[in-house]
Amino acid sequence: MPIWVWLTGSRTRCWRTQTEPVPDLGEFVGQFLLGHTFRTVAAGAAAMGLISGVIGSFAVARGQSLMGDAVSHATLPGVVLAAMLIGVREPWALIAGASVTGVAAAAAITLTARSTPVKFDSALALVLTAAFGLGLVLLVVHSRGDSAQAGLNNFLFGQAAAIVAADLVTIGATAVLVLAAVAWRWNEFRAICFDYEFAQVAGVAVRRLDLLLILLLVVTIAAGLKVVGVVLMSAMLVAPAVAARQWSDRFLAVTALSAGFGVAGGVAGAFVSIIGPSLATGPLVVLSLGAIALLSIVGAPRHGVVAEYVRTRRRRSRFRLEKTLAAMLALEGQHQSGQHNHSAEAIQASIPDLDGVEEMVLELAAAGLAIGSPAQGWRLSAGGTVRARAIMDERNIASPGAPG
Amino acid sequence: MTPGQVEVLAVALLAGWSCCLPGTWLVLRGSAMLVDAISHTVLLGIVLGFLLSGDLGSPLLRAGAALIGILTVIMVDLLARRPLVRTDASIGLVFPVLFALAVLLITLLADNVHLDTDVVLTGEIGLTPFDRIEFGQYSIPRSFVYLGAVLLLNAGLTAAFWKELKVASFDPGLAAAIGMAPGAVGLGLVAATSLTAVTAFEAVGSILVVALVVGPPASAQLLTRRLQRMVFWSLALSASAGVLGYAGAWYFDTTIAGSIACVIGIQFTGAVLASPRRGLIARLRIRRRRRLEFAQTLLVKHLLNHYGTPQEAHESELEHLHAGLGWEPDFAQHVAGAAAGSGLVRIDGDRLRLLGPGRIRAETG
Repeated sequence: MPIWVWLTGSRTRCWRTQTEPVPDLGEFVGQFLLGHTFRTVAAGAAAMGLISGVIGSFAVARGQSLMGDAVSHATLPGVVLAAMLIGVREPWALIAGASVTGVAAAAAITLTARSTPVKFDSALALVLTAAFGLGLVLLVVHSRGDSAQAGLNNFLFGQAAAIVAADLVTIGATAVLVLAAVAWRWNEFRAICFDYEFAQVAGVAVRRLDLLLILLLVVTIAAGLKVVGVVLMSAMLVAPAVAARQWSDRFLAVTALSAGFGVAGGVAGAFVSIIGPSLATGPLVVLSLGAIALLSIVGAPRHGVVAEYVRTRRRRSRFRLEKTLAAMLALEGQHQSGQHNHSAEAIQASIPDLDGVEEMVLELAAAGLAIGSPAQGWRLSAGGTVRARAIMDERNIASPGAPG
Repeated sequence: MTPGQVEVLAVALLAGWSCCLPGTWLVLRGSAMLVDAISHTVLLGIVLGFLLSGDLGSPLLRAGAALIGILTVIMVDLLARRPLVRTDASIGLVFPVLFALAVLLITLLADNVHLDTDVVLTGEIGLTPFDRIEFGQYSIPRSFVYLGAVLLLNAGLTAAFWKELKVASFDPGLAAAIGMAPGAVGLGLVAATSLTAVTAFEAVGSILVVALVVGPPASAQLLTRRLQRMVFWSLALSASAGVLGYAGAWYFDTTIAGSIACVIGIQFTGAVLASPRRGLIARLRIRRRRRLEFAQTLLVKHLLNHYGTPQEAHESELEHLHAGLGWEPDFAQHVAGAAAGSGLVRIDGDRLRLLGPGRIRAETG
């Protein structure tokens, strides 16, 4: 089946239906990439990626990655109440409503986990479902019938294609607010993320900043609901931060990278969703971010899986070479006359727990540390002897009390 | 109540009880959010099962969902083993990505199929009586059979592995030392949870599944310190949440799943506030009582300090306690009254006089 057939099908969230012909490149660029819709959606997704990357790096550093998930579910009752009371579909009203219940949920979770035997995880899960259940009840009471279902679907999965200028303004204002707050109290925020007790002792108003950080998280989530929806919001916060953490040990760099990954994921999601006409933007943004996180975990220098594997291999082969060198030195020490060749089998017999000694000896010979041939046996070169002595000395120092 | 309503209520009870049993252990182990992750990612299993079988009624859907549930936990575990990824970040990363994949697959491939993502999330327990299965002359809802089987399985597993679960949950180190394989116990628990979530969420939706798994055990944890009682409490709480939630949904004419989740939330709030000894109210009362006792000790020590000195008359005036001990007049009155009530001092006009027991308290307290 050609990929294009897979990608067709009409959904409410698409920009092109299957009856329209596939545009050529120039038309594609002109109509879509420079088009108003793409720019609006991409700008919204990028701005959300930016602030969720920044706020997410704080949440992840504090071990509160799942707080975002709970808070985002808990915004449902607030959104419904705002729609009921204010009765408008103004973006700011929904964001305000969402923030109120989001903060209440975060406070309930923190209070429960701090002052009862209930664990943080249980408190999260419970507040999440109870608040979401309340939201559902209100939603159904508020608007019976299909309109509720449609609204719910948008709330759950976002509706990025329907982002309009008013949404962009709201998201942009939120972004400026969040970034300004983070820049304003950068050092204090960093302190409470990494050493809460130190921050407290150093005179930081930890409780107040704690609350401010949660407020920023809630506002970010509330602004992002339209882009990715509740369920996927968690990944917007966690994925860029986890990815960025693999690349650096410095928090400023991690936060900046995380923001960059967030923007990249947002734009990539918007881009793919315009190529594939029946694809919703939110899930694509999340998949892009997931791919970035996976690539970082596997391929990041130093902390990545590949780098770690290479390092382990290198360490192991160095250890094997050194052990062979030491064994050869020990064998030569058994003869008074010094220059005495030993076969690879003899060396192998003296270190039975290390296999493949023959290859090791060849490798040592190639490095000029051993002299000889498979037929005549092997002995250490002058350089090899020095190296082997150095290794023995190092070992003796490294493990005092070990028999010399 | 009509037979249909009775059946819906019975489905709610069966689902609640099936969820409680693994839920108890998950809550004790502090991995409640795994349920949240599983309940979302089973959607991917259902979609993949549907793609393989092409039939919404195929058992492949259920199998795929249960497998993906287990796979989710394995992926979370693998990722969390990376030195720079914590468990919570791992959960928060894995489940939305798998869920996003499922949503995309649905919009791409199963567009014409009735597989609504929001129905999966919110569930429609009210529809369960319409999906029936025939046993000879009897006709019962399909959910009865599935949920009943899962409930029996969970009850059997809980009873059979009670000791292993207990040791592995409270002290994994001990469990490993005495050869109980805590890893295998944990994986078995996750497998049972996954199967339960899949079966229950068809009937009640994934949001309610999380509430049913985590809610009653978490509330029960606050009501008792004994494991066996915790299980019974959570079964009872779950049943009452089902009944009350159903009644609430009927009264307000709203969603049953959401209503049950609300009742579970209210139960938990009640337990957090009113649990004897460990609730917030009980703790507040204990704190106030201690504060009063401490203030009384302070008062008698203050009186003893100045006993027989020239300032005694002045220092033992009730009004002076504000300056002497920094107490507000109301609080001083309250403490003095309590101290007089327990025979430590005697109130003599506006002066306090130290009594024998007060003197002993001042010297020993």
